[in-house]
Amino acid sequence: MRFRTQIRNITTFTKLTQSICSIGKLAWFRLSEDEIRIVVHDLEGTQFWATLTIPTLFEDYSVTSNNNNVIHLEIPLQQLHRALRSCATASEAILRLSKRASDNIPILSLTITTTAAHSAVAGPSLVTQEIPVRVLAAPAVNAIREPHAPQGDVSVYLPPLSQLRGIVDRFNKLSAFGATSSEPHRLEVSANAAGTFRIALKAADVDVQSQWERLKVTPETEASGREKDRFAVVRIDGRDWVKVLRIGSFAKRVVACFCEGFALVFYVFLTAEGEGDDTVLTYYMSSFSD
Amino acid sequence: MSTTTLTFTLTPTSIGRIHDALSCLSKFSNEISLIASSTQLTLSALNSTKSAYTAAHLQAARFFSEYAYQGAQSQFSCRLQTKALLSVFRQRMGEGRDKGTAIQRCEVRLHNSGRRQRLQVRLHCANGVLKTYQLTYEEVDVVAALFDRGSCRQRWRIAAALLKEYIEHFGPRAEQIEISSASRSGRAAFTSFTEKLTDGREILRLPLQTSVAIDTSDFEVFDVDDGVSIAVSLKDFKAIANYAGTLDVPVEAFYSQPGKPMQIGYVRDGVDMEFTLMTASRTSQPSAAMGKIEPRVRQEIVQRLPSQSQAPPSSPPSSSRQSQPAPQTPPPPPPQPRSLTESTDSSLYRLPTPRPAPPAEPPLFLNYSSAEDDDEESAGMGTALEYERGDFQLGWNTGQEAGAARASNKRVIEDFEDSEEESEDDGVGPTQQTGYVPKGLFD
Repeated sequence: MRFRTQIRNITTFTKLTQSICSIGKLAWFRLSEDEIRIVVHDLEGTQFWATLTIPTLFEDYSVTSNNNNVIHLEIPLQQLHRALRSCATASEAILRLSKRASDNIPILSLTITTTAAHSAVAGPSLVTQEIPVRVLAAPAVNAIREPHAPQGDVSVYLPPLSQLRGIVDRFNKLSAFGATSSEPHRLEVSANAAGTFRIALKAADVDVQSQWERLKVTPETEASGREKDRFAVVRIDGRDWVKVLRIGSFAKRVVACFCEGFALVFYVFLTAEGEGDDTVLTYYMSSFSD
Repeated sequence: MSTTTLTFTLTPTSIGRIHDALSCLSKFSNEISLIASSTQLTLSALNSTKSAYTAAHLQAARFFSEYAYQGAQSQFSCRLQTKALLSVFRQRMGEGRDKGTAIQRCEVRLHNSGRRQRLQVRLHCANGVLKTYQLTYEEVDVVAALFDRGSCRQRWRIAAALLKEYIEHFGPRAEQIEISSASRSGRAAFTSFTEKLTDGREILRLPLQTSVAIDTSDFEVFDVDDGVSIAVSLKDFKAIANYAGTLDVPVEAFYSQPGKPMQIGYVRDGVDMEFTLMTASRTSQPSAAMGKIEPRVRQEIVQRLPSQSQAPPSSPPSSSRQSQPAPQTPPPPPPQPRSLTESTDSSLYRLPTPRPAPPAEPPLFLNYSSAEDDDEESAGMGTALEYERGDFQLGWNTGQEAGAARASNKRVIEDFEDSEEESEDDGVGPTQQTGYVPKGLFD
């Protein structure tokens, strides 16, 4: 079992780990010869699934194993993210699967060649970060299944996530008003085929709503023949949602797909439309029943 | 009881410096010792496991705009709550921007006449605003680590900013950092590690293990024998590097070999910082040894103490301990359990259970050397410890030579009080101004 790669796109990898850190503590990585799949589903209600092409993150990539050259790893995200932060000024960063000599545990070893900003004289320094990992066997992996969402009722392109996140934060503050902290901060999120997107909070003491209009809807929604003004509604926890919205730091386009009363699915594209690479990150948030 | 008066004045810049130094000291202990003499004021902190001692020496002539010390003894020492001190000097940050309340001058006055023990801090701000803080302190004999830099074979010096940059690669959770030298090949390395056995799913909770290998020419001086490597607490080392990084100074380190202390120091604008850390070697497992040492010594002391209690304390009980009845005899040693865990069931504590001790650092101060009057107690303790720890020599400097024997007994008692006070001491809040300031203003 061998895995070795050079990290091609350190910024993307760092931002990705940063934004999924909030979803869960552990991530499952499936490394195969032609793609990388990353799954996080620690936190109740939210799951993260992404299939990335190799060049999105890596180059000089090689993976070999007895299982059709596929390796499944369970990686603690905090440690991975902390390690990647050392790469900020790296001239080269190499990620390798190996075993630590001292205690024999499997590790992802990240070797970084970097030059310290304050170093006046000497050449580059070598930083090694060892991230503990668990190698998963095939049976354990088979239990991990992508959630099955029915055909979405309405799909709209969301306004910029940074803007949206600020607003959701305010909703969360309002919903915390008068509620006990253990209660979920339930928001009612809805959209229709005319491109109207609403966030609403209905509680004993507050009734607030924000609305965006004339957002772009996907061609499928356009073609579905659904009445333009009929809203598809889901109820989600506002605090969980804010964590999802952290991906805004590098998302180019985000489509929210409303499955009425069932789930809200976010498709996050890392490229603008028509740029080719259609790498997509998917977040599933299941809806509370009313 | 003799009278001691200490007064000094700080400029806004030096207030900031004191705050920075205090916040660094706060990483080591929640109590800070203050030692005043006519030439310098020392703030020091010793961590609970006595594996790290840190001191900021503020030079009277250079650091303060005015400084005066008057006392019967050549120096005066007391102990304060770190939180209280920090909060007095903290506000500077925000107020610097707000011109309306910017601090212009800070006057500190300590007048110890035996009855009333208060450290008064007066902050003169813009527009005639005057803020007064009264801090309680406890008059105690303070110990300092004796460290002979001259006897250290290994030393290096590096720019603080560069050291900080390297240390930033280290995540917060690893326990120790190893500093090793391969000077023959021109390389040196910092490596973090955690001595913990794990299995199964637990391994994913292990902290990152980081290693930074650098060229020895990154150091201004690197005079370390090839192959020498020592380990110290990563948390302590990070605190030192981070604080040094805010100053633009070279950081110097002195050590000899694992198991002997290391000192790191830097000097700037009349502030002389020194950190004395206990070192270990990576292969040994000092944590196991230490688990035995500490409780054993403590038990021995507790058993002997009652017979020694005729020695009067050299200081009255502090105000925070008013509940203690007889001020002329030392407080009876609290039952051992309270000193260790605050449990009230003493039967639990016959067993030598260590405190939630630091992983792999042996205590720094092992050999209690009393200057003239060789006390049975401390001698016995020294032997017991030396037996465990080998020939390591490190002394105390109590500053009160005549009372050394008594001081060492007293110190033991205070050790017990430490942990007790942490829980009881809610009365001494971060500032003591309530009850004082309103009176001054409105009466």
